[in-house]
Amino acid sequence: MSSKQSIIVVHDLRKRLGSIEAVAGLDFSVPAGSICGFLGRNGAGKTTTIKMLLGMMRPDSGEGSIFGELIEDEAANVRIRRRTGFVSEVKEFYPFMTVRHTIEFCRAFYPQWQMEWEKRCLKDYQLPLEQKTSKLSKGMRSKLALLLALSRGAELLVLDEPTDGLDPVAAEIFLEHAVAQAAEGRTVFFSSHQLHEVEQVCDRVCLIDQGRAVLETDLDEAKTRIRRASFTFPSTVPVALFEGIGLGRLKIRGRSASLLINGEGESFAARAQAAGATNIEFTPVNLKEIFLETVGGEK
Amino acid sequence: MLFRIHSDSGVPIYLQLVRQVMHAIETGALRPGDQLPAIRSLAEEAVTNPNTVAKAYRELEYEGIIELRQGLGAFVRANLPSAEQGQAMKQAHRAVGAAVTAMRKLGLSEASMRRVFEAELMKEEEASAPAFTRR
Amino acid sequence: MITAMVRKHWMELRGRWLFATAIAVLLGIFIIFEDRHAIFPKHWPMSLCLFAFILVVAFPPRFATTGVTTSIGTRPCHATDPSILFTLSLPLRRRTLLRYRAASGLFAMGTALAVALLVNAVVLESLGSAITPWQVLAYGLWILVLLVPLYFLDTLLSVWFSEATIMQVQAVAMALLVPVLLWMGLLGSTMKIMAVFHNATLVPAALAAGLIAAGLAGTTAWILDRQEY
Repeated sequence: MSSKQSIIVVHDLRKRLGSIEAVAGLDFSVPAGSICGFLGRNGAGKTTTIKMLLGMMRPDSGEGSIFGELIEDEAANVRIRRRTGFVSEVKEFYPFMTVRHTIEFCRAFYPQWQMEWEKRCLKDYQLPLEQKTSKLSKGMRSKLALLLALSRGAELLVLDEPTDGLDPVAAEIFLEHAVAQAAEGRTVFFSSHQLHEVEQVCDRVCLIDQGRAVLETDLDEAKTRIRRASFTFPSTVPVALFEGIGLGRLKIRGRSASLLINGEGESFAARAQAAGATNIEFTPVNLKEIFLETVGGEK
Repeated sequence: MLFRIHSDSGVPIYLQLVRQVMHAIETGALRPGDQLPAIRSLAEEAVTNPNTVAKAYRELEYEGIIELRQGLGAFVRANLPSAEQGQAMKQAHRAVGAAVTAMRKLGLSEASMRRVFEAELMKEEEASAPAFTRR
Repeated sequence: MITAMVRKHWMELRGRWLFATAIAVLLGIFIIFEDRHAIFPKHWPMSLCLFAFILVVAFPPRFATTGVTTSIGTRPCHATDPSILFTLSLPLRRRTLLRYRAASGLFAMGTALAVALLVNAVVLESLGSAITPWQVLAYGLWILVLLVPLYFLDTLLSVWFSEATIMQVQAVAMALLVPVLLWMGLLGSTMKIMAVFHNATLVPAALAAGLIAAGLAGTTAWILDRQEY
């Protein structure tokens, strides 16, 4: 794939919240036209990052830009928000407005508003137009937030846990929508704890832990490169051999050891063989395994 | 034809698509000259990333299995990698068949055979590593 | 866009507007009758104090907020209402939100007062009082001059505090004011204080109030730009 331009670029971004450094030197970029999954455990810094991207918080240091506009400049951030569809972590609206009022209110801010998308979302999500937003269930509020983000004719969608509270049918509809939006040329950046959703529609993932990116890659490439390597040794496992190798922790059970390797298979297999490994096997892994290994932490 | 994606299988989705198209050609579900769905409609139908579909099509084109005609779409090639390739595939099937028989004799289970096969393939793949930092 | 914001603020404030207008009308009528029938004998400033008390406690905090926060329902809202991220995601600068909201709230407060005064003037008129429209207007303008700086103070306070907190603090401050004045022996001279409020001082007072309000609004905008949500 040719290296496309990046829509979101974040460099050495830092943000301290109280005594915790929520974002601690984060680097990543989101290529134009991709669907990028933003992954990490609770408290990894996803929401803080997204809030900085959209001007709700200011970075302590480092920089970020969207469409080449600096995020910490308020006027620039207004221009960013005009071109960005956003679903926030808190899906709350004005309780005195009905669903219809809320849609009409939002429509006024975006001249590129797509009536076809509004209609499609209303139909697919079966939103009750005349209901007050305060009377909507959590899932319905998520759906309304999605309608507002998808219909505004944005160039970029930043979605913070968009499928939160959605039933499996609605979540699948969202995935269809995300794909269709990408097919129309939009870039989608979304955080989720539903790894299978990410695996299904994302071509790119950015995995963060403790405020830093631990894995940023094309998903297909990750699946090709990252394998579980299992070794069996005649007596004990030479732990020193594995130092500085692989993703996550080395698992040792008796004379067997296994770990995730990232494309360094061949050379490492040779070293393991030289160290006396009697059996070396590589098996493919899915995103969940990669996630658990890289950010699972010590148990 | 119908595509089925197993997103959590560990096999890259573009590769699943490539395999399914090849399988469809082998079984006759797709014939030379047939048009494949447009990238966008396949992406929406299979609910997968359009870039991934595009990548699968590029891969298929590179393998000489389909032809991308500007503005018209993707078509199964009329002259598929033909005789030579067909011959090569037959030889490959024979070679793998022999290997499988040999491994059976060694008492290997199907799962172990797959792992051995994967491990061998792994040795071949030594492309550039994805961006990756270790804590 | 402006239409959408105005419509939002109308929906946001209409309930409060009705409530505030009703209170002011009823209170005005009560004061008129109190004045006639001397329910509180010899303490006529009492009714005025009561009027001031209700106005100060019930008017500015109910109408004032920054626009980043939204006043919700009839219940007092918190400094961070849940819809805050939705508001902040709109392609508007925070000071624009403040400008629209401050103007809407001020307009609502002003019209609520105007309606109340108009009704009271009509009641007085029907009771045969010789009150001129100019007196009513001057009276109304004086109230506005006093309430506008308070309105912007409450706008500033709503950056950090909930509406309920601001109302309580103001209620306590006002409730303390009367005993303190009594204790200082100043209540008797309330008439002297009232004498300050005449037409000649209205214009300078309005200018001073405007300056204070502008200062408070500027401070609020400056702080809002630096707030994080």
